[in-house]
Amino acid sequence: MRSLNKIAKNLIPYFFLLPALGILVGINLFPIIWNVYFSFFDASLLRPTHKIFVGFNNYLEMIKDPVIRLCLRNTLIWTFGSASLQLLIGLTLALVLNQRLPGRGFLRGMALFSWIIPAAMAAIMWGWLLHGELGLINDVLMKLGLIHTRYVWLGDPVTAMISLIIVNVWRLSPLFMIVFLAALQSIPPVLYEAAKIDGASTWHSFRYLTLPLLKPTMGLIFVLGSIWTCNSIDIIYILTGGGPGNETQIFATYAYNQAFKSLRLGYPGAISILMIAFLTLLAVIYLILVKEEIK
Amino acid sequence: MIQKFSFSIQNRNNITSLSIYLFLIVFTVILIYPFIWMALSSLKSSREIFLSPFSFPKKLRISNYFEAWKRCSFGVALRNSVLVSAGSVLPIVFFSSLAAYPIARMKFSGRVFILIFLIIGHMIPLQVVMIPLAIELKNLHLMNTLLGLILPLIAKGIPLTLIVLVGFFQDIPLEIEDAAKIDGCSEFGIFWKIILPLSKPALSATLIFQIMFTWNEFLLPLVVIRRRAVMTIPLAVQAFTGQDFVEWEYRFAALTLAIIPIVVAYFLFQRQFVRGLTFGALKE
Repeated sequence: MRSLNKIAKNLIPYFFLLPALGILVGINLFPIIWNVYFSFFDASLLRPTHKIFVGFNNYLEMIKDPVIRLCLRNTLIWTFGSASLQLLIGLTLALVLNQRLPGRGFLRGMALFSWIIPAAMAAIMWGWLLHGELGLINDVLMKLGLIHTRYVWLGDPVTAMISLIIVNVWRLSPLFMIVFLAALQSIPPVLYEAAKIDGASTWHSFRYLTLPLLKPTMGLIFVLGSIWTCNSIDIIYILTGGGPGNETQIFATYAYNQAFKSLRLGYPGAISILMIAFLTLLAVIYLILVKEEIK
Repeated sequence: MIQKFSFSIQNRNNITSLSIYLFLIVFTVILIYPFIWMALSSLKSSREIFLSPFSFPKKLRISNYFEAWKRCSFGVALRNSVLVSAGSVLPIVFFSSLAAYPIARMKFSGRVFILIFLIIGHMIPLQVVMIPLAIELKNLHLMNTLLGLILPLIAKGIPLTLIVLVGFFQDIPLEIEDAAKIDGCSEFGIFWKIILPLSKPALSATLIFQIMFTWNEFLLPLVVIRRRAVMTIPLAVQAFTGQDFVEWEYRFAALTLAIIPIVVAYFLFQRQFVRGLTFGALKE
């Protein structure tokens, strides 16, 4: 009887965990395993039961597919280009707003505006801002005399990618700023006073005090921002759909198109596996950083 | 000499503060002006939108909003969004706090494994499992239903909420629990009567975050929903504004309508928003 009680007592934690883990296994883990299984088959998404075993063919197709190479290039540019700019702009804004300025509270309140609204809605708005005829961006640049004719920003591969990154940076930099502000405010002011007494200049106390103390936050937010951006499909889906051609296609949008536009089952599954590998790599870096933070 | 020195310092300060202000003004304009342009355009006629993009509308056409509301079936979308957010957020927070309790405060085998599973679950997005998920939902006859949105959203929201709550629960002193145990309180009783009431700030912050995330979700409805009657706001507005024949003033009005609820919520709960961020919603 006593041992039965003991077993029941040992099971208590698992009862608490059951609902959450059940849903996660059913909706996250189970489909991932299924995805691995599907990636060895070829079938139409409309009739998933009529599938043919093709071995590693989907993976071989990936190596040969020129769009995959474009996706790799674009995913790297999109992810790390956005994250670096967000880091730079977010940090600059935080350093400026960390000083006592009138209107600081107002600005801090407004800062999260671009982040709280749905990314899809922000993307639609930017689509209109960048629009050839309607776009305000063209109006402003023409008034400043920087361009002479209206330009279709999303029509050219290079300006399309730059525009996408700008939209993403616009959306997330203020969030980075808020995180940096919190980190800056946790630095005890005593340290700066001590540095001042020792005769350190503003630049020196920034370079040898602020920057090293912010380093853990910078690493974390950079990796997290990369993961968010790598995963976000809304902005690219709405603004370019991966176009012109496949010039702004990233893995996430390409897998989506292959599945829900070309209605394939196995090939997008294989692309997803590649994405999971890439994301797991980022997640491992994140875990290592978190571990150092805890230490 | 002294005078000259102090003058140069003051001069430099003026220039720095001037450039700081200039920088902040540019930042604010870039951040806010697109919204102002959108709101102003939503009150103009199509002609005005194209011919005088910067001006204030000559006549405030409030009727644009009524027309956009009707043609976009905004009322239906609003109802769907409310149902989906409410239906997913409450289970997210309840299941997460249940699971966070043993992870934060008990020793059992598999604890570290579960934590790593959660963090990786948080990193791996919905779209890499989109295809099997769509098939799974189809087999369960959940395509084109609100429940078909709610279940995946619960799975999506749990990892982050759980990680934040684990961090918060760990900071509650264990002695409180010991006293309750002596009084004969069960594990669930401790959780329900002691831990949850003490965690109100963390619970409300995670609740508001998840309301925002579920409300803004776009990719999932895009895959699961095809019928107008079950569309949530972002999808309904995207479908409406994406049609070429719709007049521009109605598109602007519909987009403004889509943004209003979340902006109002933000101003009402701004403190929780910012607190949620600094809580370590991002740190952990």
